[in-house]
Amino acid sequence: MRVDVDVQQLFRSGGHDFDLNIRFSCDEDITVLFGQSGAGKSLLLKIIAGLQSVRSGKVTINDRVLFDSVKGIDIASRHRNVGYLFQDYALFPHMTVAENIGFSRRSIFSRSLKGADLDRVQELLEIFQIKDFSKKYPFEISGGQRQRVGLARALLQRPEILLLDEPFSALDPLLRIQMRVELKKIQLIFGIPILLITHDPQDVAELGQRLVLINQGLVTDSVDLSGKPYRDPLGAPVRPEIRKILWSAAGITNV
Amino acid sequence: MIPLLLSLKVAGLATIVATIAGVSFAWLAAKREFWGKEFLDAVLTLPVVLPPTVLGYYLLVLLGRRGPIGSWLESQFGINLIFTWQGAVIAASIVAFPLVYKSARSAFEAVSRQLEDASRVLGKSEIQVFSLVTLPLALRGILAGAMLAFARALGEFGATLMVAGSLPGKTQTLSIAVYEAVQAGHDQIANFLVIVTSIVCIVVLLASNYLFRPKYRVT
Repeated sequence: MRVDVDVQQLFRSGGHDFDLNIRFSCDEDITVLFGQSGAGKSLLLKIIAGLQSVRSGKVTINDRVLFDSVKGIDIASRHRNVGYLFQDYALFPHMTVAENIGFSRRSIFSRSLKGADLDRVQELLEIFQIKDFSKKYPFEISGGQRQRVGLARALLQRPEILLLDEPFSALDPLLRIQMRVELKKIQLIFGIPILLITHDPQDVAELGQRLVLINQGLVTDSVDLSGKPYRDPLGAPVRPEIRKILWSAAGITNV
Repeated sequence: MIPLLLSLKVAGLATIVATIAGVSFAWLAAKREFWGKEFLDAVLTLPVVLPPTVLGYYLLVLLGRRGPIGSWLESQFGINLIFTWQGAVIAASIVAFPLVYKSARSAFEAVSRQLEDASRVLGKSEIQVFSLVTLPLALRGILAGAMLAFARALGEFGATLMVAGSLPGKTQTLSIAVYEAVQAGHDQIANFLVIVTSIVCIVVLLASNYLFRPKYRVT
């Protein structure tokens, strides 16, 4: 799996100009996009998913062109086949857990799914251990459970890539540790590459195989983290050179 | 009883017309950007601000035999709307329209963009996004607006009197019949109409409160 992104867009809002110019490639299982808030990370995920239009550039996933301003290609979001987990999960409040998960296979006219689609929902409910809540509404379940529902919903249609927008920021620290472990497991089970946004260095340390640093709309660094132990599971610090990069991304130079 | 039945028919049809038009314009105003949007909003809100008789006069001028719309309808289809119950429906629809439009617009605006984006990424077309996510989540607001529109249409007096007049059994709606009964000193008829109307309104309000109770909460 290979992802190539090269996009440019000038955003104007209320006198503030923001120039986004991002270019990076990755073929790792889990790539972490790291940067301060307002650096353009979420914007980048929206561009990949086709939810935000850009002036010029090219987005390719596995040689499949999703966007190419030169050739005039701009595939609609609904045909891009990407899994997207929003920061607060964006679960449909008027649908039960099972209905949320099966949403991508649902038609306008029938509330229920049939056959293979129904089996697939059951399978995901089991993988994510949320079978007991399948008939509950999102407001009736906890934050961690909501996140699992969001992931299961995104994975139902077997997307080519999973985009996660700060997946752990709304969770308490204990749950964060647990969900990081689960995310790695999910990556193995589904064999799907993950592009993850964070501003938590811990996520970089524990999950990242490639680290892409984004600062004020620009990619400032892209580091291969794979194959090396970057963190001791009991909490020993991040590898020194990575820590240095993370700190400099946060504007601290003399460490 | 005839004025009551006529009023229910006129108000019911007017509510349907106002709701369909109100929801369409509300969706445009809430979810799409276009030039002159706030001006359109002002024009669409005008009927609640204008005195009903002024509105009725406008309609009379437009729909009358010599009016631009009225003369066209007359020559093309042989239709005359003045002093008919259909004319009363048009008057009530326009008077009730802003109530649906305003509630539906704020209901649509309250449906987060993110939920709609989530369904786009999950493979849904714009029509599916609307019918599976936007409309169901805005439904309570729309129905509340429709209820207000129905109540407004049922009580409509000024514009209806201007456009449809007060022909007993044909265009004499409830609120006009009450006025006529009091003017003519028929206290018994007036009392009867007033009590029946009050009961109908209370039943409608109770039923709508019960029907619109949601089974979910927005997190």
